[in-house]
Amino acid sequence: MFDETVSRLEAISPPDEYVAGHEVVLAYFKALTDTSDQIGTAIAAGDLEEMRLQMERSGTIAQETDESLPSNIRILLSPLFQP
Amino acid sequence: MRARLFVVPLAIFVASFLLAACSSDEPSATPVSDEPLSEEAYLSAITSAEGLVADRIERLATTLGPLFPRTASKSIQKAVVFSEFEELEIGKFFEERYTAAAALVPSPGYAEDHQRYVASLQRLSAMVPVFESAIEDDDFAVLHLTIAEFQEESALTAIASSSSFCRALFRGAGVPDDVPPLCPENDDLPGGAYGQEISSLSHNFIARFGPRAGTNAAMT
Repeated sequence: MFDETVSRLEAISPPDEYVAGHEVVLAYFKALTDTSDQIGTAIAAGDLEEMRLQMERSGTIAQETDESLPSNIRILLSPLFQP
Repeated sequence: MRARLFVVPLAIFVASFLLAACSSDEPSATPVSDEPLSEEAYLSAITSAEGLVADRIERLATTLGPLFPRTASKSIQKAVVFSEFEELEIGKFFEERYTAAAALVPSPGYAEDHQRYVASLQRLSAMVPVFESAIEDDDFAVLHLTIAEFQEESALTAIASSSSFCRALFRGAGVPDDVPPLCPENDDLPGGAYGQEISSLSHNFIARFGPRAGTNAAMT
């Protein structure tokens, strides 16, 4: 489901001032896509503990991204990170 | 650390879900008239109708937010979740909300928003049997997925709407105007076409991803 978002991000050539942030955002979406896949697998298997662990992983990924995200791209990601 | 991370989306998704899921035992605020409402009256009607269910939104957010689905594996908390949802009578409120919204006659400027919103409520109503079966079967995994689909449907409808309509929905659900990050922005974003594209992608991503995978996990 989220592969399309990643593909679109990979196809974009950001302006020079957004190159660093773009890489962080791309890594973020890739990591969350992976956790989403893992959660889907866990749900299909009825493994709720694994589902919970992967959800926690999503939170960790988001927090780590928050700490490394350049300030100039935050405003473009307002649903995800506070500018 | 910017602590708002994912915490606000949690409130948004809980609210989004209930925007469509709940109504009130009180009479609906929906005006009964064949004449289109003024823009102000229409948005006010949307906000008022949603305001009738604010207590239920608050109840779900405060009671279930810290529990569901982060601690899904703990059976006693699962019992709390199922009990809460049974009490909410989701199916009944889905139908009532759809009926009330469909009776509104929007001002011409909101015809597109209204059509999208009512169509979304109709799709949500069609999903109710799966939700009710999950509750009946105590199937937490299916319940999680179904709720995620409800939330996703509501969130995608909100972000596809005009900014003022989206904010009217969230305002009615008790979310202040300065909070809803999912609503489309009227202000010019920096970064030109790149900025617009990244903003659009992030809105759609969080609308789809948040309900399925991440919101509660970040609430520590």
